Amino acid sequence: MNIFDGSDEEDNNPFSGTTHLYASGIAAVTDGPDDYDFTEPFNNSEINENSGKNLSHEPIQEIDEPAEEIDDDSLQTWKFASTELSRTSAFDTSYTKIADQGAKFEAIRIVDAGQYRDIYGKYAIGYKIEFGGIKVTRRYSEFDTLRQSLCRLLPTIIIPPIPSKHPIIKYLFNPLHAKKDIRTIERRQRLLSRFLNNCHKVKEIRDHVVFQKFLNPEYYWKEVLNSPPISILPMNNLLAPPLNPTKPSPIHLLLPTPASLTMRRHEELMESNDESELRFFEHDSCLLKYKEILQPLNKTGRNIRSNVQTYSAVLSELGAYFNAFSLENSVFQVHTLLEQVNRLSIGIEKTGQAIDVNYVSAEMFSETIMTALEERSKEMLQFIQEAQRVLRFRNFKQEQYYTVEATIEKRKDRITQLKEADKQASRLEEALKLNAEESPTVAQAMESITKSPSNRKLTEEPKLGTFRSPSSRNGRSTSDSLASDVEPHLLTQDERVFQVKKLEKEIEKLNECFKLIEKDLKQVNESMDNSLNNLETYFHDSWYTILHELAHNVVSWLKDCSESWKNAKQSISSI
Amino acid sequence: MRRLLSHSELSKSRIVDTFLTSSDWDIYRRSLTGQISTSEVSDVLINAFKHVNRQRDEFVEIKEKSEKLDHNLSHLDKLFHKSVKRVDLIGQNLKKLQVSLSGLQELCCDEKELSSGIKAFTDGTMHLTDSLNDLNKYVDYEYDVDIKDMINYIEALRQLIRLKDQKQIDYEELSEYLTRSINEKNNLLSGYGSGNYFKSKLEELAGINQEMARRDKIAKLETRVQSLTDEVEKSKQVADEFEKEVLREVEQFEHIKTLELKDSLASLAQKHIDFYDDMVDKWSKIEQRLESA
Repeated sequence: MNIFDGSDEEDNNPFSGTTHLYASGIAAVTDGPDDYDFTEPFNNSEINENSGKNLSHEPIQEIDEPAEEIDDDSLQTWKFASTELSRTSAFDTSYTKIADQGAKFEAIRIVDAGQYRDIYGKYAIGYKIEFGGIKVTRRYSEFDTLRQSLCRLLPTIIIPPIPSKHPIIKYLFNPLHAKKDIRTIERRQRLLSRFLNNCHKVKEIRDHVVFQKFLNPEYYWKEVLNSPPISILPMNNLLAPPLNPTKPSPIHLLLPTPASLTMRRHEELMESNDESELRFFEHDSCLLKYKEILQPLNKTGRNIRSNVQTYSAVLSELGAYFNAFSLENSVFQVHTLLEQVNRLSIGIEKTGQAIDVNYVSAEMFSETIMTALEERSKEMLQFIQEAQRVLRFRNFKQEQYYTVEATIEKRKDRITQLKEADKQASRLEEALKLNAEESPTVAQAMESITKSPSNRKLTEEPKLGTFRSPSSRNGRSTSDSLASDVEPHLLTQDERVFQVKKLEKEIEKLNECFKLIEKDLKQVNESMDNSLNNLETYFHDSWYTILHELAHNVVSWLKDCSESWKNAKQSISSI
Repeated sequence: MRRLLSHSELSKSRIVDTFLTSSDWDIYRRSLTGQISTSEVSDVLINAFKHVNRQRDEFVEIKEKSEKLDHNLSHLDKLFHKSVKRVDLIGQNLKKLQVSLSGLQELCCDEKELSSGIKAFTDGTMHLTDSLNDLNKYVDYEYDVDIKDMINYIEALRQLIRLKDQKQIDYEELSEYLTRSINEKNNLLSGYGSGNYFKSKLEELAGINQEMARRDKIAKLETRVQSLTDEVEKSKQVADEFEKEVLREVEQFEHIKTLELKDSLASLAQKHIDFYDDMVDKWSKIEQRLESA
C-alpha cells in the first residue's frame, strides 16, 4: 500500500513501477522472519564483490592440506548434522505451514545475485546463498552440475528442477551481463532459491554429503565434482545399488542391462494386479493428467502475463495523456469559470492518477502472475518430467528383474531338458548296445552320433552370443553356459554333465542376482513411492500457495485500484 | 440521445430551445440546414484558401487550444480502444485459466479442501471475467461515445470559429475594396487620371471626352464608395456581433464541456469503483477461504 502513497506525488515515470517492485522484492527477501538465532544481520546494500573476494581467499588455506580433507569432511558432516538437529524441529512444522508463511520463510535463501570474482579471478554472475548463517557464492553452472550429480547419486529420488539454461547461441553472442540481464538474473535467483529449498525438504538430498558441500564455502565446487562420491559414480546406475550407487557391489555388475523397455511387459503387469504395480500405474497416470493440465495452464499464464503487461503499458500511456489533458482541458480562459476549470483539471488529473495506479498495480500483478503462476507451473512441469525420468529408471530396474527371472527359468528348463536327455540317451544307449552286438553297422552309426555333437557345437558357438543378448551382456554368464542352446540329445554325456554343472552354478549366481534385484526393486519401489507421494503433497501444497498468493495479489490489486478511483471520484464530484 | 442533449444545450444558448420543445423541430431544422447550404457553403468554398489577416489574441488561443484538445481526446480514444482490446484478450485468457483450473479440480477431487479451494478460486475468476467484460463494455460503448461526443462538440466549435473567420474575411475584403475605390477616386479627383498614361492616351485617340469619362468614373466610384462604406459598416457590425456571439458561445462551450467531462469522468470512476469494490468483496472472501484451508 505504501508503494502507492509514494506514487501519488510522482508523475507517471515509467520506471516507477519497476523500481518499486525491485525494492519491495529485495525487502521481502531480507525482511523475512528468520528462524535462526545465529543469522548475522546483513546489510542490504552490501556488494557481492566483497563477499566474493572473501570467499576466494578463505578456502585457499584450507586446500593446502589435502591430507586433512577426509577429517575435515567428517567434521563437516558432523557440524551439519548438529545444526540439522536444531533445525529439523522448526523445519518440520514449517514444511506443512509453508503455504501460510509464503516465500518469506525459507531455510535457504539466496540473498544476493550479481557479478563476483570467482576463485580463479574471473568475473562471473554469482548467487550468494545464505544457509544457517553461512554464506557461499555459487554460479549457475555449479547449480547445474550439482543437480546432475544428484540425479546420478540418487536415481530413485525426484530431484527438484532448476531454471532452464540460456540458449547457447544467445549466450555466445551475448553473455549474461550483470546489469543488462537483471531480469534473467532475478528470475534465476528466485528459482534457484526455490530449488535449494525444495532440495532441503527432501531428506535424502538434505543429508547428502554433496549437497552439504555445495552449501559450504570451504569447498571448491570443482574439486567436489572431481572427488568421491561423484568421481566414483558407476557409468550405469542400473548396475549399482539403487539407493547408493557409489557403494561397491560386485553382484550388481552381473545384472543385465536392458536396452529398451518392452511395454508389453508393462501391460502384462497391469493385468497381474500387483498392488505396488497398481500404485505406480496410478502415479504414472496422475502425472500424465497433471501434465495435460499444466501445459495449457503454463501457456495461459504466459499469455495473461504478456497481455497484462501490454495492458499496463497502454494504461501508462493513457495516464500520461490524461495528465496532459488535465493541463490543457480548456480552450479559453473564462474568468468566471476559472475556479471550475481548475477543479476540472484536478479531477482529470486524479483520474489520470487512478489510471496510473491501475498501471502500476497491473504491472505488479503481471509480475505475480509470472512468479506465482507461470514459473510455478513451469516448475511443476519440470518436476513431472523428472518424476517420469525416475519412473523410467524403475521400469528399467523392473526389466532387469524380469530378465533375471526369465533367465533362471530358462536355465532350469535347460537342466531338466538335459537331465531328461541324459535319461533318454542312457536308455537309447542300452538299446543300441543290445543291437550293436548283433550288427556292426549300428555300432558304426552310434560312433558317428557320439562324435557329431562336438562338431556341431563348434559351428554353433558364434551364434550363441547374439541369441543370448537379452539376458546378459557382461560376458561372464555368456562364457558360463556356452552350448546351452544346442539340442540336448546331440550332446555327449560328458558335455551334458558338464553343462548341468555349469548351469547349476549359473543358477546359483542368478539366484543371487535375483535376490539382489528383488531387494533392489523393493528399495526402489519404496523410495520412489515415498518420493512420488512427497511430490504429490508438494503439488497440493504448491497449489494452496499459488492460489493463495494469486488471490492475495488480486485483492491488493483491486483494493489499490478501487481506492485510487474513489480518490478520483471525490475530486470529480467537487467540480 | 446524449448527443442530442449536448446539441440541444448548444441550441439553448442560441435561444432556439423553444423549437426543441415544440413539435415542428424537424421543419425548423430543415430550414436551418437549407439556409446553411445555400449561402454559407459557397462562402466556404470561396474563402477556403484565404486567411484572416487580423485576429484577436483570444481567437488564436482558442484555435490552438481546441486543436490540442482535439488531439488529446483522439489519443485518449485510441488508447481506450487499445485497452479494451487487451482486456478482451485477458478475459479470453482467464476463461482458459478457468478450464485448466476446473481440470485441476477434478484431478484433486480426492483432496476435498484443495478442490473446494480451487473451486472458489475458479468461481472468483469467472466473476472477475464477467465483471471485467461488463466494465470493458461500458468503456467501449458508453465512455467511448462520451469522448466521441466531446470530439464532435469541439469540431462544431471549430466550425463556428471558421464561420466567424468567414464573416471577418468578408469584412476585410470589403474594407480592402473600399480603400482601393477611395484611392482611385482620390486619384481621379486630383486630376492624374488613374495614373495610367497609356490608357488615357488610348481613350483620347478613341475620341472619348476625357473630362466626361473622368466625371462619369468619379460619379460611379462615388456611388460605389458610398455603397461599399455602407456594406463595410454592415459587415463590420456583423463580424463584431458574430465575434461577440462566438466568445459568448465559447464561454458556453467551456461550461457545457466542463459539465459533460465531469459527468463522463464521474460515471467512469463510478463504474470502476463499482467493479473494484464488488471484486474486492468477492476476492477477499476467496482469500480468506484459501487462508483458512
